[in-house]
Amino acid sequence: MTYEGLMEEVMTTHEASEYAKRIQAAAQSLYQTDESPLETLARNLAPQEYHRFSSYLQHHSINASDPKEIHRILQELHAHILQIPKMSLTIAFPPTQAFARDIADWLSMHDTPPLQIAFAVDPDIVAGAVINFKGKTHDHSLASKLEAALKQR
Amino acid sequence: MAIFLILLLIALVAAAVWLLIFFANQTQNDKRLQEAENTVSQARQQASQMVDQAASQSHTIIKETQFFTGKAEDIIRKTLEEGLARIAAENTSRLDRVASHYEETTQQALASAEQAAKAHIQSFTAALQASTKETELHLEELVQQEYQKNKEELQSFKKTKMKEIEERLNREMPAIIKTIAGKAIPLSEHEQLVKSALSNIKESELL
Repeated sequence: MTYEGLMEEVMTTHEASEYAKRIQAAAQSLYQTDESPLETLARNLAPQEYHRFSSYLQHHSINASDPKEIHRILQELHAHILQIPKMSLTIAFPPTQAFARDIADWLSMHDTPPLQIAFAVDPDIVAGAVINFKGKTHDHSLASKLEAALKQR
Repeated sequence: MAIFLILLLIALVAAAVWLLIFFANQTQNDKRLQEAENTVSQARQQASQMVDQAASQSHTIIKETQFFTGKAEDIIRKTLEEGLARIAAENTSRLDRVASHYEETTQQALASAEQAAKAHIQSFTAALQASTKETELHLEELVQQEYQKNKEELQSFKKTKMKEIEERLNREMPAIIKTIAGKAIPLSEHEQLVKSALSNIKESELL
């Protein structure tokens, strides 16, 4: 089962970690109260997340009143979030929410597998980006280009 | 009467020598001040050329990185020129301070040479022993020594200062370019450059 539909708006490592916490809290609450599974989900998830989750259940014809089934999905979703590869993106300016969204859109438009982006700000790179992915660093900063140009002189 | 005439003659000779030395000194002084001004003006010109060169080099470096679109490059070039012009102005004002310090020192040296000349005239008048020619030569030598000393001092100062400016430019140029370029790049260009970086990784199939 794919969980991509439940991952919208989760683009940064921080957002992923917060989402994972809410999923975990919902999973733990399922058997601790008298409320229905959907009520537990509504209480623990953000409104848009809840909306997406209930649509997902409907779409996959999953019984929303079965706490066991909901628990299984929540656990799988939690595990899915944790295994999404992380990409560290060091840029020279503080990213706005709109820019982070723009980058996420750009990545999905370019058929990039799901990623958790960890933004870091370092004005010393001057411009461009230093990308760390799967243990490798790719320096596409202006600072490194300038240094190379200066060394050649 | 004869004694009076001799004394008058001595006074006239002393006055003539004093005038001769005074005018000779004055011409020398003017010449030395002129030379000092020329040296400082050359140094100022040299410093300004260095900074212009640095601005042009910085721009070439930015161009060589092939990082920017034409518009952003223009903005960066303009900001670079402004930043480096500030350094040029700083160095020019430093050189101006050097020039005024040198003029002051030269004036003091000239005053002391003149004092020495006066002392020699007095001794000449009093003793009536040394010949006028000998005194003139001695004075000329004194003035020449002082002049040479000042000239060497200024030349060495100029050399040191130029070296300092050149070293400073070389040392600070990378940082200047980085700071100026970083600030000059518009946010939209910054954002575009991040996407270009991601694009490069994507094309290399590393993502």
